[in-house]
Amino acid sequence: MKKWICSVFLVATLFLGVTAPTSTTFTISIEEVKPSDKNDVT
Amino acid sequence: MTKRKYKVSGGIDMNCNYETEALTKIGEWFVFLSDYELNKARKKKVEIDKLIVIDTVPKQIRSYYDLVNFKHQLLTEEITFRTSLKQPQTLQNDVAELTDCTLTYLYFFMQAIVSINEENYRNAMKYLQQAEREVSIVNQFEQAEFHFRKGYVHYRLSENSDALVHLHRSYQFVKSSEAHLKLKANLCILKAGIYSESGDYEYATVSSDLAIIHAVNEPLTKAMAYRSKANNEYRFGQYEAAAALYERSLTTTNQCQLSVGIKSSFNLALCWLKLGDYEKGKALLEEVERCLQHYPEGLTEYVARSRIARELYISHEPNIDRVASAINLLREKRLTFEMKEVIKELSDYYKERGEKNLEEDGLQFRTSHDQKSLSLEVKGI
Repeated sequence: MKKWICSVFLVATLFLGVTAPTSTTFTISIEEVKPSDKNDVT
Repeated sequence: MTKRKYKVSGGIDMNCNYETEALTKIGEWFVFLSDYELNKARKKKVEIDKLIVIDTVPKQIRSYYDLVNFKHQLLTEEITFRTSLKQPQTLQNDVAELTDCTLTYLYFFMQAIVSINEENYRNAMKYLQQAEREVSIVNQFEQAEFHFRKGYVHYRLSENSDALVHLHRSYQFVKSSEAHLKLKANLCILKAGIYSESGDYEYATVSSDLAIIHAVNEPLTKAMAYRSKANNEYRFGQYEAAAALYERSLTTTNQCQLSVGIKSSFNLALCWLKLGDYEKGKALLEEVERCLQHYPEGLTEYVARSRIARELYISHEPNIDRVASAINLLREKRLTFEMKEVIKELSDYYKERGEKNLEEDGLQFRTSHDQKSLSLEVKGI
C-alpha cells in the first residue's frame, strides 16, 4: 500500500508537475531555552 | 629611515623626525587608551591633530592614526551601539600594505568590532582569531580588552564555556587595576547573561548587581547592567520586575539614538503586552517598529521579534506568513540562539491557548519522545 502511494506521488510529481506543500522544521532543546535576551556591553 | 618631507599643519616642511614624533605620540595615545586613561587620551588626540594633517602623512601613520582613533571612539562610546558604524574608508585601501604587528592586531580587532555591530558574529570570530596571532605584542590591558571582546563573541554564539574562559583571562589582567572598572562591569554583565541562561537566577542577579556597582561612573554601562538584570527577571517570568528594570535602564542614560535603546524599548513593550497592559505595550511596540524602519541595520533580531510580537499579542489572528518571514530573517542571519528563543516563545504562546489554532495558522509543534527537544514545522517556507 505504502509503495503504491509513493509511486503515485512520484509519477504525479514527475509527469504532472505536482509538488508537495513546502514546509521547514526547526528543532530546539526544550531544557536549554528560557526566552529572554542576550546582554549587551559597552 | 629615509629622509622625506611632509606637509604638516601650518604649512611647515619637516623631515623624518616629524614622522617619528607622530608615531611616538600615536603610540602614547594607544597606551593611554589601553590603560583607560581617557582624559589623557583626549588631550593626546588634540595634540596629534594639531601636529599632523592626516591626508598628507604616509600611509603607515594614517593607518595607525585611524585604527587608534577607532579604538578611542569605541572606548569613549562615540561609536557604541551606532547602527551606522563603518570602518574608516582610507583603511580599506591601505590595509594590504600593513606589515607592523600592532597595526595588524588593531586592524583585525577593528574589523571584529564592525562585524559585531552588523550582528555577524562568525565573521567577528574569524577576525578575532586573526588578531589573536598578534595579541602577545600588546600590553596586558589591551590583552584584557581583547579577551573581553572574544568572550563576548563566544557568548553571542552561545559558546558559553569558551566565553567564560576568555572572560576569566580578561579579568586576570585587570583585577588589581582601579582604572578598569568599566571593563570589570562589562565582564560581570556577560557573566550574568551566562549564569541566567544556565538557569542560575541568583548568581545572575549577583553578577548584575556587581556590574551596577562597578559602573558607578559610566552611565551607559550602568544602563546595560540594569538591562542585564531585567533580562534575567524576564527569563524567569518576572515580567513586572523586568519592566521596572528595563525602564530604569532606559532612563539611566539617553539611549534614544542608540540601537540598544530600541532593544530595551522592545523588551519593555513585550513585558507590558505579557502583563496585559495592551494600550501601553501596543503604543511602545509601534514606536519601536517606526525606529526599526529607519535603523534596521544591526537590528535584524528585533525586526524579527517585533514582527512576531505584533502577530502574537496585537493582531486579531496571528498571520503565519509574517511569523515565518520573521523566523527566516533570523535563519538568514544565522542567529541560532535567537531562533530558538522565538520558537519557544511561539510554543509557549500556543500552549497557553490550548494549541487550538495551530493547524489553521500553518504551525505544528512536536515534542521528542524523551521530552527534551521541540520541533516547529512552518508551512510555506
